[in-house]
Amino acid sequence: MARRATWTAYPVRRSASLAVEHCVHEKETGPVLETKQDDFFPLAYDKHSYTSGMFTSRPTFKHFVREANVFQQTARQLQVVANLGNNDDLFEEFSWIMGVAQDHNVISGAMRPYVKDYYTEKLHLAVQGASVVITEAINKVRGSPTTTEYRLCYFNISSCPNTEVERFYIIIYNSLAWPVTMPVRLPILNKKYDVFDPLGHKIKAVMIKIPDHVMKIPKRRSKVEDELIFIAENIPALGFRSYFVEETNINRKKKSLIKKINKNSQKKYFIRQASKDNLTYFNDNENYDDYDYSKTETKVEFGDIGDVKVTNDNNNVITPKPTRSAQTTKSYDLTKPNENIQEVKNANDFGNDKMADNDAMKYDLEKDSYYSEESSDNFIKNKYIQINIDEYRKISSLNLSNGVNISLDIQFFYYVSDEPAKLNSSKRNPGAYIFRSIDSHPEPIIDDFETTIFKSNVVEEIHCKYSKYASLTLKLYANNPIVEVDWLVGPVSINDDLGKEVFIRYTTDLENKGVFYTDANGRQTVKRIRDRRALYEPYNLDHIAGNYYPVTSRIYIEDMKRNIRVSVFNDRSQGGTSLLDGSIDLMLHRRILTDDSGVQTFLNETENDVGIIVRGTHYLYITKSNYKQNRLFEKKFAKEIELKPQILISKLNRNTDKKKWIILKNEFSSLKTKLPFGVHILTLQKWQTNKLLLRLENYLEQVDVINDGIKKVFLKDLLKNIKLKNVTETVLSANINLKDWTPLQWQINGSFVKNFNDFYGNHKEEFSTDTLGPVRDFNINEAVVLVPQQIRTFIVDFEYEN
Amino acid sequence: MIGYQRLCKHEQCPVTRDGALNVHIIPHSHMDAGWVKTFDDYYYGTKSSVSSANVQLIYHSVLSELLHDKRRKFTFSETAYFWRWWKEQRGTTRATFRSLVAEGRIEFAGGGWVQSDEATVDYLQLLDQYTWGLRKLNDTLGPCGKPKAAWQIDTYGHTREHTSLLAQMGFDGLFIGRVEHRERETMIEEDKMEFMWRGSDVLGKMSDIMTHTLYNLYNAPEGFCFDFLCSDEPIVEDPDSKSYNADKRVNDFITQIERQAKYYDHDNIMVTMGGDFTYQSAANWFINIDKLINHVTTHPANMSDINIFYSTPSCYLKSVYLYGRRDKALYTEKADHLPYGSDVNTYWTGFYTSRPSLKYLSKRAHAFLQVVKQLSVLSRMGDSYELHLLRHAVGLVLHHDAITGTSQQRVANDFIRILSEAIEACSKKVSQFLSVLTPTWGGSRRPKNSQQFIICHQLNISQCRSNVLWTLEISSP
Ligand SMILES: [Zn+2]
Repeated sequence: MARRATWTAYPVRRSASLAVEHCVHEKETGPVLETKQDDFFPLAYDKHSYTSGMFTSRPTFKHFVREANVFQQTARQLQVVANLGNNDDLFEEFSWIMGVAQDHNVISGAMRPYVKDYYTEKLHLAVQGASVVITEAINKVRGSPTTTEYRLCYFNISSCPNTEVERFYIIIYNSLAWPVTMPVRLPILNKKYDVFDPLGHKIKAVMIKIPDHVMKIPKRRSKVEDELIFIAENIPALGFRSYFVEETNINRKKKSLIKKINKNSQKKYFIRQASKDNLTYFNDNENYDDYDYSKTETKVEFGDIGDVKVTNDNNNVITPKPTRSAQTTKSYDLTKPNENIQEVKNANDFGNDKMADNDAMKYDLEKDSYYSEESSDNFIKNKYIQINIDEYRKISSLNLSNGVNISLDIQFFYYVSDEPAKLNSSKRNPGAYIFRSIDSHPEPIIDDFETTIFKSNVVEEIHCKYSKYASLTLKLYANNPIVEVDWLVGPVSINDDLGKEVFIRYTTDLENKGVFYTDANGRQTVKRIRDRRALYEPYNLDHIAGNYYPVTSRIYIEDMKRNIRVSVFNDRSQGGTSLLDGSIDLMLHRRILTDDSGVQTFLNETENDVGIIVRGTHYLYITKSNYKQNRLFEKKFAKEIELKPQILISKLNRNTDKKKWIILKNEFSSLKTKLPFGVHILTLQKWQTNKLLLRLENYLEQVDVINDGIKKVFLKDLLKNIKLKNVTETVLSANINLKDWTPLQWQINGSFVKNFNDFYGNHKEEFSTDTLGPVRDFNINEAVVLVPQQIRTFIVDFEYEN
Repeated sequence: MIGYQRLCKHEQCPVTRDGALNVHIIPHSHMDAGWVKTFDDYYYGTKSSVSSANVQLIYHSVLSELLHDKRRKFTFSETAYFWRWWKEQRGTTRATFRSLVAEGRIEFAGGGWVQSDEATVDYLQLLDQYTWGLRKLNDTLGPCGKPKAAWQIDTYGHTREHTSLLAQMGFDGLFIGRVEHRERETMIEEDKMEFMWRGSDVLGKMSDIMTHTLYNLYNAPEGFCFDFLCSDEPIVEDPDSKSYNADKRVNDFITQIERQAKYYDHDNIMVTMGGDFTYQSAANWFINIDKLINHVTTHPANMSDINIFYSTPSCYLKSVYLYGRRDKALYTEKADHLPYGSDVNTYWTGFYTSRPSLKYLSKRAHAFLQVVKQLSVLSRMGDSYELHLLRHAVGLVLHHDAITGTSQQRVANDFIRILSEAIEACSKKVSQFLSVLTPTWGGSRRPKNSQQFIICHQLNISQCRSNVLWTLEISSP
């Protein structure tokens, strides 16, 4: 009873006292509504049938929709800022398919294969249409001939005909309202290349081997075995930068010529510098009131943490050990804790250029070496993070430069999907919606284990093969606090006639006590507690499927005692949970042989009769949990994944020439003034002739911010060359003027708690007392004030200034 | 924009009757933008061997049926299909459609490009699809076509963020269909089929939206799906016909809606009449619903005073909102800014203080009902007959003329009797609940027979007949 009471105490207790108050002291007016502050996940038809499979179903389609979205937003922005002619038809097509893709049977994956193919085709066409707009705009801004064409790469299979040549350039467009730094990886020939920024400066680049498991993707016809990697720093906000890439040998041959060209081009280049909108993006990130880069935790001085010991008393950590024999997976002792956590003896030892302990480093890379080397080290590192592998060459632990040490195991598993008919059960079938494992035993995928470590001056990588159909690459880029996990799953075999639900488990020694957090639609985070629901008692809960929640951008766990948070960001929606303390599970791929809802087809995605291969990225971020700056970083980073800058490649052309390239405008931002940290230009699109639709968002949450988190933006200083005139504020959907809208005043029973996440499980009863303020006309000369999480929508009259 | 409501005759929402059970019949068709067929196949009806669904036919069929009878109404939702249809229509057809919208006989609910998923979508794409759909409605139908009710009737799970976005889009209410089976039971127990949902803690009131959980997913009551896709019997109302079944069918219908009425806290209920891609042959539906409405209205067995009519989601919201409201006048004054107009003649002031004692009793009974409900949940004893009695009595008194005191003395006395009996019955029940809840030796949860609780309902005159006085410990006012 006590348990039950805690779960429901807030609605019950509140409603009891307030119902009476209402009755006695107030007039009876209309129905008095009970309140709800959590959500409806996961949905179950009955106690056996949770629709938590749809969070992951058709992972490649889900990802394609995300990618197409970036093209749509980019094309919309460029249509406006580059003042292009009428492209309404293209945008109409794009809106058609992007809208249709959001349907509850489409993005959820519950459609027949031919329906999926049809929509995939439509998305391709829409992206092509957007590329036409983007090309037109970029040529206009760069001053390049209108016939200049660009191509997109098949980055998902690390193949690109237009970069697998001796000379090319790329353009990276950033649709976010702040500069973004990102690694660029381009498939190239096995040669030495130089990379040049728009000023003609050579920037640091390395070549690294493409993982074996990627090269074996059947669709990948390219023979190329290497990737060129460099860091594109501070790609301008609402703008782009171009980089020129050229084979080094060619450079040498024409050395004298190049010098001359450089002189000339410098001159020309500086003429263009005079143009008023050059280089006005911001490299300095100081003065952001809520976020000070110089103070981010990951940059704190290395203290002496010689006495920090990684304890190892978590018995739940599942760490199957690879063996030479492929057939012994089932005999792994899943309950055996990881005994191989390495310990950083002295944090000063890493992060410095010289390694104190030289035996660890077999290959000492030259500081400016272009080549990467296979290493026999048992770790990879950058100045913030070190990741260690154990004697089985399996990832085993992670150390941060600030003294945080955790165990870390990354393992693929699958559940066998239930088949009620075979078992003479009357349960509903699993399918695109329903996820049900046949039992609670996850099968580890580790029958063909192999680890290779590669090190270079830009990135260090662990290539980990677990099986013919499951592998990953762990990447640590220099100066980057994020661990990238590039995972690849498929083709999942069904030769045994068993459907499979493949997931990845990140296991740490954190004690999160059953609590984890998942995002909602890429915005707010909602607290989850294993085997519980906020407002009702879920008895008979399926302990696996019933604990899966949608993860559209991020899932994290926290150890309150050790003050550590481990987050995984993803690149598409996936089902996620924390079934064991310290672990995060994310469902990657589903290949199952039953149908749940009358779509009359199995979720059995194939290409040429072979199961498809799914590739995606997880981003691991580990931080001290009480450090607010890093919460802000996480919010910003999630946006940088959602609207990841896209790379256009120059079309293969014999006449591609650095001399011709450098005289063009290769760097551009349409933002006039730096925006405060936390402000996102959510929508910038043509609404009608001479009208824009503009949405500004403060993406921070109250819990993140140091001060009140209120941001101010002046519209008249927003965009270059575009004068914003009259402004009408509307509701979020832009179909009602805000001042014409009056919300209904319903009677409610009780109050809302101030913060659901604080309340749920903790029982912190602090009540919200907010009221709605009056709506005023908005004036273009005043600041747009944005409270945390607020989105404001404006229809703006505008004109071009020149 | 201001004043458009005068042109859109939304005040033509059906007149509800205080004291009656107002049954809003909502004809609608749910159109997925892709599932077993593609959007185009669904629209044109191609690939009929896979599915007979044919959206263009639905539009035409509904349109012509609406023209037959002014009372008929229909609710569309997915703008992507509407837009495809609209592009193919001639001016006269468009004009007809537009005037039906202006008369409030065709309504769009939701109005996004599609009915979007919630679990797996990104908020920016959600905003885009709503903006695009609502904009097309505005471009074609003008302000009268603007949806007021959000309509997420088939989505598998609902997120807080989506809810927050809907509230900020200016929707007056949200209708949802699918709720986890166990949560639904709890919602029923706790009287939460309709609730105020807060989408965002940070945004607070800006993100609140009234949410209605549909009773029967979005389908017609059992046996009343008149689509050719279903095999339910038509209604035969000619008493001379051998197939005459109107009495039986109507009784069945009334039984179902009265059961439904118990789950909602006021005197309006919403009966969805539709399903997936229904109304291709709209006449099937409308002919039979017409008969149903006529027969329920005139049926001598209509003891419970059922007021049944064609309606729409926004008219339902309006009725619930105005139900029992004293500030109707205020509301009317603000009508220029409000989506709903309201009749001035529903505005009375005299009833505030009529029959104060009955009012007091009913308030006490209502408060007591909350206590009983909570205790029954806490003690996990489930719903009981006694609770039903009290719920019914409170409902009867609160929801009907009784509370206004305008009813005759004889009627008022009757109400007092019903209330008292229900309270009496429930008091015994409460004692049982408390026995279960009260800790006993050894932590046993078994009721301790010696333990009894007596509830004192006469403290208002400081009198209590029992020597055990218990103040509701957990739930004390
Ligand atoms: Zn549907």
